[in-house]
Amino acid sequence: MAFRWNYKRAFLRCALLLAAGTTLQLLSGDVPVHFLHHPWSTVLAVNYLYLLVLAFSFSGRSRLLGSLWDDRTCISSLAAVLVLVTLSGFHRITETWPFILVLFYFMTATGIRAVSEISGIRHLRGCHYRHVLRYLARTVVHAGVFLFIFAGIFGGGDKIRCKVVAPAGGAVAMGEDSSGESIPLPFTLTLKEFTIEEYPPKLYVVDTLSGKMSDGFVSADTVGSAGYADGWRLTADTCLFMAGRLPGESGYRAMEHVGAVPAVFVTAVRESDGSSHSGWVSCGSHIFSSETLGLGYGKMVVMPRPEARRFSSEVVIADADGRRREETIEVNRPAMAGAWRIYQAGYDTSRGRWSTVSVMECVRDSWWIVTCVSLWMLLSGTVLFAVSAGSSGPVKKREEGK
Amino acid sequence: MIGWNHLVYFGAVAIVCWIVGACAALRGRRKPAFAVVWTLLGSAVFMAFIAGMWVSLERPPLRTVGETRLWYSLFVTMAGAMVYGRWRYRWILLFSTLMSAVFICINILSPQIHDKTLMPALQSVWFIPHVVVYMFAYALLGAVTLFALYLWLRPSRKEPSADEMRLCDELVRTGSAFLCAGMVMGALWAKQAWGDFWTWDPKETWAAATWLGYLLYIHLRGTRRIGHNAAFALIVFSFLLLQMCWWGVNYLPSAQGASMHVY
Repeated sequence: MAFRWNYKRAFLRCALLLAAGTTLQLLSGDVPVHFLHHPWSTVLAVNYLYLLVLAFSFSGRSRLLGSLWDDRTCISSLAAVLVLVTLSGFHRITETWPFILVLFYFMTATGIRAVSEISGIRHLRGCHYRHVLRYLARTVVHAGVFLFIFAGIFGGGDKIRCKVVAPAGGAVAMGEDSSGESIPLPFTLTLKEFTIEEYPPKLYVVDTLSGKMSDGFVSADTVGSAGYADGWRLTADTCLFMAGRLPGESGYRAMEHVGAVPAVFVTAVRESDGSSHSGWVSCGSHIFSSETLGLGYGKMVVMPRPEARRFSSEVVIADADGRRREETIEVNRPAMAGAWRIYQAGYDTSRGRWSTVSVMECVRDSWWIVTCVSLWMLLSGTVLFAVSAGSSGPVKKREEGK
Repeated sequence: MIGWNHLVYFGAVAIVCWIVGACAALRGRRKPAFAVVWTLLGSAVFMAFIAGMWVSLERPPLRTVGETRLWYSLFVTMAGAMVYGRWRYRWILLFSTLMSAVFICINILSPQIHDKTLMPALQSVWFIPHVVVYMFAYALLGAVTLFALYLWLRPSRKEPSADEMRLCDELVRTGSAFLCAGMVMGALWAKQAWGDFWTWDPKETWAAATWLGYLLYIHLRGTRRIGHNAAFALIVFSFLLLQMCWWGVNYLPSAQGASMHVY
């Protein structure tokens, strides 16, 4: 019987895949995170790539193989992925069987299409440069999308992410993953110093009944900083960025001490009637209690904990061979340790700038280079698309000459 | 120092320049360069405001939705000037002016409190290119949505010409390319900041849905498997996905507490 293939059947195939995925979902639940892992993930990935090339090579002889990557398949699988991703925007379904199966189908179509386009590059000689650019852009983008999904599906199971809470001076060689399981690390981390820079403290007017903070605030950068918040003009008469209050004292004094807090002497003047209040306001710490300024009318001036401008950890990384090196890790600047990357994730927020621990995340992603290459390919493809914009379509010089 | 309260003045001057450009394009009595120059002059005035905000805030004004609206207003008029300069569609400047003016008015009527703080994760070399490229993509895709709506609903009920459809295709293709570039930059940034290229965070999910929507349009148009009405409907649908990605996700219950992009 002849193999009949049209758009209706292409969409029907997607629907059947969804039905099969739903059945698997009902029987076994979500796809396990480490479903594919080394060495089987690598073996399967290599064989899968080989099969893609074979499928392209023999698709001229078999309509079934051709139906794995033709326009109908590409468009129907793209539409199916669009529907599932849109649904996932409301309720995450990206770890379910229907999603993974449809994504796998879409990846296969894109992969064979990319192989076909790569093999067609040799026919570009003599074509208009814009056609060449657009063809290359399409090829690079298809190959990039394929590689990105390929690395996600075959490499996702090998990824390890664990949290490390490093106390100052102590060496740590174990992390903890999201399920609470201990993960041994192939290196030890010793926190030498944790530093944090903060933005100047802000003063808000808060409604004591509703707890709502004013939209406006005053950033107490310097003495004399002033502004309006919820109908009150707030002026910072004294600003102490490291201060404390001794027992029995009513005011704050400058103090270089563990637990020192920012403290501001504020004058608040009500805009409507000119009534004023003044006093100290501080956010407090694990040593000193917080201080607010009551204004009457159910309002008070408060100072939330200052926001972090940057925080970093100076660490010593020692590997199994005893090699030691010092690194400074901060957000957006991870350190490398073999196949691992160490990220600055946080600190003890209850102690703020006096935190004695640094929270880091160690990530091992063996496939990161494949993903990175795919993303740079996509970026290059978009540049090629932008450069080739305005093309009037494929016109071969040979055809023009006819 | 230029602050948020100066927006009304810069915005008014910019809108006047854009209106002059739009009127010149509509009347068509002068050379097209006249309309383009006036439009770009308005954009330059608005860019001066953004630059002033940048200096006074001591950080790029790209952190809040209100701040991204500033860039959108700027880029949508630049995209309009580009389309007019390239294809000579007379009314596109009027539409881009209207869209920019609406966004400026929203920012004037609901001013945001702008402070200098920039959380450590945003202090990355990727921050500015990621957001600026995204805003440029949004502006191009906003322009093509207006164009598609005009072609779809115009009173004359005239069938769109091949040239008009080609303009739609070019704008969607270029906008999608920028959208893709913005998404890729975001992924590279995420790896540097958190160790994952992609986590299906709600914002990322809607960004992917938006990109896939425009990709579907490009592929359907490329294979000529779609009529005009369906093509316009897909452009509008994809633009709705874009709105969900831009600000709608902030209101989704599923994103509360689950997305690091809610701001």
